[in-house]
Amino acid sequence: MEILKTHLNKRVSSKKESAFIGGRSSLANVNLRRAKSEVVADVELYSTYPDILNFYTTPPTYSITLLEFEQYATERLKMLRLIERVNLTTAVRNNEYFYTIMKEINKSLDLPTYITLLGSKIADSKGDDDSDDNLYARKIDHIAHFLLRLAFARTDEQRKWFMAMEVDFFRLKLWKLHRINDILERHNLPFVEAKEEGKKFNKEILDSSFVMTATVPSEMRVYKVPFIHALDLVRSRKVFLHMGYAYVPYNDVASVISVKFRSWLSESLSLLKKNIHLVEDDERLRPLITGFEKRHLGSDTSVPKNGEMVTVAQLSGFSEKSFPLCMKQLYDVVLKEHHLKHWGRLQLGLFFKRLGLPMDEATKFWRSNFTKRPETDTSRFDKQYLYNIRHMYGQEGKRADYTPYSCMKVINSSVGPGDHHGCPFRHSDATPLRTKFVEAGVPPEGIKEILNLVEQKHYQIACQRYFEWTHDKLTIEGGVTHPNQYFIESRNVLTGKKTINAIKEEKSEAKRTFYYKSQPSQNPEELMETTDGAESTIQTVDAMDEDSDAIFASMEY
Amino acid sequence: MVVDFDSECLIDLLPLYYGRLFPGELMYRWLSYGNPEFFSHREFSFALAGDVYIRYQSFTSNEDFVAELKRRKPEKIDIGAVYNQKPKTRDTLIDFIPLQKEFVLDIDLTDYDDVRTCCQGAKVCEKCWKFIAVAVKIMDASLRDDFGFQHLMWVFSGRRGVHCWVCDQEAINLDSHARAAILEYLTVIRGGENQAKKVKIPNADKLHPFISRSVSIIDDVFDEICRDDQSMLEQGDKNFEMLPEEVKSAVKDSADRFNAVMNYINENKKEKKTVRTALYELKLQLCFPRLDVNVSKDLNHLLKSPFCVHPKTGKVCVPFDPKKAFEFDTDGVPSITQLMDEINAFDKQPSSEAKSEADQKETKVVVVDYKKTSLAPFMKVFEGFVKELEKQRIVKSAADNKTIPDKSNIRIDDF
Repeated sequence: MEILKTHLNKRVSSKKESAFIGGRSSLANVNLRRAKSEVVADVELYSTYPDILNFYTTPPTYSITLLEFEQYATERLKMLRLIERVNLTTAVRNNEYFYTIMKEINKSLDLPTYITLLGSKIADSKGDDDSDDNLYARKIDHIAHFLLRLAFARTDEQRKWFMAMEVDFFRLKLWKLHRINDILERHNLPFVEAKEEGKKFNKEILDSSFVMTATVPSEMRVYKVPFIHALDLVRSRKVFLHMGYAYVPYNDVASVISVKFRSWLSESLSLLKKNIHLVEDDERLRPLITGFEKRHLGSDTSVPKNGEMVTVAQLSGFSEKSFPLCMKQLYDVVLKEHHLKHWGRLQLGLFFKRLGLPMDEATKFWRSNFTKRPETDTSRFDKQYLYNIRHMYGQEGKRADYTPYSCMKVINSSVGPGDHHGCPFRHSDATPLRTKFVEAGVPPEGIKEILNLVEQKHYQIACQRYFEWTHDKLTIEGGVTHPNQYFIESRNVLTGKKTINAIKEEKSEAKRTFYYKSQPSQNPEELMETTDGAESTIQTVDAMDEDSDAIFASMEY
Repeated sequence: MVVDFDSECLIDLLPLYYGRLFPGELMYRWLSYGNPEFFSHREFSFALAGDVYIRYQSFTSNEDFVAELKRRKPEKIDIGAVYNQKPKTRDTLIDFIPLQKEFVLDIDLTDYDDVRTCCQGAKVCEKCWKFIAVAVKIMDASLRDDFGFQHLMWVFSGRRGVHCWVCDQEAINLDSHARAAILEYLTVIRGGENQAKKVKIPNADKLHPFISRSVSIIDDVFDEICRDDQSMLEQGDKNFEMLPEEVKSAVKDSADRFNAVMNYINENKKEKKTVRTALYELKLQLCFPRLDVNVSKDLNHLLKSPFCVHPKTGKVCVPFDPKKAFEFDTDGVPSITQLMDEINAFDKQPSSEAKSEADQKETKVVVVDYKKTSLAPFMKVFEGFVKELEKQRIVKSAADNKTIPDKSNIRIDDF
């Protein structure tokens, strides 16, 4: 697939090259000749992929069909989303984390490539599986990574998400490998073994790292590397720093290598961003790539605007029943304390914007509340906060249309003293949470259940249960992914638009929508618009992934 | 001499201040880092009277810079990043990207409102300044000893906080990802208003050297700040809730809760790990620096320039010696009104030749003026900082000439 090679730094040149991707044939035709890619001698594959680790510095040069394109990319996206789901439950990358991911991958039915790649059913003495199947999986891994680069190159947010997930996947492979020495050598990484300092700072190094004191210190090998190459360890304060150098015990070197990988990936992606239009110009590829972007979990663009305009007067009524807890909490603070710190204002303000609260109404809300503080008079308010509000509505600065925060973003926001933003299920102690549940009328068994989920770090599920307990046991299909989604679902329940039957209908509607959407000749964005009503659009996005296998199957006829 | 500052007069005093006291030449020597382009591609932003804010100003020389200051009379000058183009004349058709910036820290007393009882909000007194002093000590030690940075300038922000400018070449070249990682390393207090306990020490018997160093810095002043000055942990203090149940129930009804807590901890810390942990967590939560991380993470974030005049207090943002952070007295920082009076008083002395102001500008070097005022000691700190930067540069360029330059480290000169 020459096109992948060229997208990086050269321009996509001739028709001949793009012809590799299935020529002029329609998608249906391609499906019929579903031939496996040409057989490459195993020796050749082995020399290209000596182990499962791939820094993805060289783009692949194979020819694949459009169907394979979609398959490989879909499979990898599913794998990355699996990682994302596990990431929501933990922030550390320890053994337990990797075991969890491995368990989840092996459990899944639609990730054959990655089960083979990571499974190592046949292992040689070094612990590597160099079977033909595994070599073939390494090749698909290589191709699929570059395919997703195309789909996630356009916006900062997409690139950030893609990079985070790919780096975690890379670390998973490193964790499987155990052969750090070879990797250091092969990739020429800036490590120096620090024998003397290793002894001199023995206590400090042991106190800093994951290494258990029980391991014999004299045998511990320590590498010295400029701290800038060990950022992950620096971030989690899991390394001893001295005069600009990180003293990395042998066991932690893996983390350092993945940072290197991250920076390479980041560079390539920003290069790709500049040239992505060359790939987008290809009319067969465009629908594939743009379609992918929409499957990005909790994608902000998938959350519909509330159809109607909302006024300040309505907010208080809405907040009682329909605001998710993260927003209700912020709203209550504004009313009570007449002040909110920056990130809280942003989290609530953007939520309001998507709710349909126009800018002048928003200004009214913030001004009337904030000026109740003696030290904030109207002129001070205008000076300090007005720009901020206008900015949120894209009226100042770079005039960007800022999107409201998804659950992912809310859960992962950093929260400090004086802050009220973030996800209450993650950023609150049990006691204040319990009070809130009682106020909302959640019965004791519900409270117990929710707090249990919180304990297990299932914040979004906890939020979903909270929704159910406060909405006559009606649920949000596919889970809570966005505060605005929560709001709309709640309104639907309260206004009687949504009953148990209605949910089922929505789901079948969603399947149909996706089927149309995969026709390459149509613009997927237009179709997203034509779905009738805000609520079903959300369902579309969720259903798309669950059912895509079935849809692929149906497309072959 | 303490002179009341009247913010109404600021606009009249500013041209004089910028003309006679503002260290334009030193600022240029600092911000150019030996390369004129590095200065001319730097963003400056001005807050003008009447709430006008102008971004993306840039200047080719210090004369150019000071002339504009005198003309525009900004109430506040912010320093931004160095861009790939001159910000003022940037071509919007080409990408406009921030390339480099000093690594900066911003510590503000408003973030201490949950631990200080002496003042709230914008107010500051000598008691709560001690929090800042502890913060300066802890951060300064880590930036130097852990990260190996040498060129640190600490600046009083004019009212209730401090800034730190880390000006080593390695710091200037950091990308935002690296900046975020350093900040995480430096952050200990996490958690919002709904979390009583904001510090978590995973293992009290295996403290990271950064934590143990920070705790020992806090130890020197812990009783003084928390017991004597702020009367913490007494009835009604939310921070009490962070302690483990066993400590809480043991001292709940005690009249003198701070001492009761400390006694309980000291009696039990040998036997019980939970109590040892609680002691560290308590010290860190009450005294560890609270950083405003957003200022530090992004390259294009702006930070107030040293030698600005704070529009509310009239005080000059002055650099200070971090080793003397505890002795630093915010009341001793001169206000613009006071400085002008000092110059006038000096000029009226018989020894000083009576000259009209216009003459003075032409014949006297600006440097001479600040020596007449209480700004002199602060200016000396700044000058020392700039000279140290220049000295290092000479040493480094001599070394570079001998060896093949390492591509990754020459971005400033490459520019």
